[in-house]
Amino acid sequence: MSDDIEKEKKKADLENLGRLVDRYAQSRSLPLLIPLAMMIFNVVLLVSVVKLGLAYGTRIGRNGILIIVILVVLWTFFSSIWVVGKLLARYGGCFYKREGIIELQRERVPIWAWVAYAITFAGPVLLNAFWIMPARWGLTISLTSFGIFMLYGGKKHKEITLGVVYGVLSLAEAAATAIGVRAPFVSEHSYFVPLMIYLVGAGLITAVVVHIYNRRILRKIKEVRPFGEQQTSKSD
Amino acid sequence: MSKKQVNQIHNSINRVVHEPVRLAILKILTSAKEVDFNFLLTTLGVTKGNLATHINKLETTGLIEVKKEFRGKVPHTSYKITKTGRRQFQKYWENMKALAPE
Repeated sequence: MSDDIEKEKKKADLENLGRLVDRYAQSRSLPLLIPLAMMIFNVVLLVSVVKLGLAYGTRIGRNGILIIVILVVLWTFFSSIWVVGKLLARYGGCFYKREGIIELQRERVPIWAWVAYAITFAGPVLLNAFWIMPARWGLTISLTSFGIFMLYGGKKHKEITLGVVYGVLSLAEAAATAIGVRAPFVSEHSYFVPLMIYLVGAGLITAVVVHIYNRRILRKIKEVRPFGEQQTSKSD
Repeated sequence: MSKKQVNQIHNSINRVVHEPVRLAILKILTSAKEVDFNFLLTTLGVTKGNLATHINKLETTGLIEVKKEFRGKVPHTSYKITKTGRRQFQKYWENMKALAPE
């Protein structure tokens, strides 16, 4: 009887261990710092390009230069996604190297989702730059698009905790903007920088919160693992 | 369930899978694409020698696959479960469920 109870306990511990290991692997959030650093870099670079471009356009008297500047901005922004992918593949594992590397069975985010995200995220920025869409609604749509993409991408990419926290924070920001909470630094025809500030801020909060959760899960794993420290025999 | 059936199931239990550390290794590998040695050390809390012995046993019985490569100049070893390993692990759980008291 006690043997049966012991067996059941071991089975439950093992089930629990599997679940905790999954959660632990899915909540490794420090690699998020790489895209956040890239976002900051992008903002500094893009603001400089836009300011210089506009100043030059005004000086030579051609407002059409604005279109070229916007195209450069969009190209830089979306090509940085590719750069971030490369950086993550190369340096993403370094953050948790001491605890070991786990590669999860991730699914690719389909192209249609990337396209939908690109259009709904950047579209309002463009519409706003041409005075077609007010900043308040543009910001709301861009943040909503980002939030939904994070939730969907997090699920597909097996980074559920990260996707949920980042997604919900972005959606909360979107909701606050929609109900009229005035966003600081938003001028009526340029909200790209505040949008980036929001996303970097929410990203930093996400990285910290999820990392704390990850440490908690690791502590739980150490409590629950059925073998304790150095206890098992080598015999078969 | 008759005693004969119980004995049959008992005899069909894979002894390599039945060991707790190896069972835990397989459990982790079923949900991951690939893990490395350090990850198993962190999550299982066994000694390096002990883990190496169990991994060796799983490898020689064809339940897991070992991949050795260089990442830069550093050697890196990772493990993934084979189709046989996945099947054996599944079968083991089915046997255990059949044996578990109602």
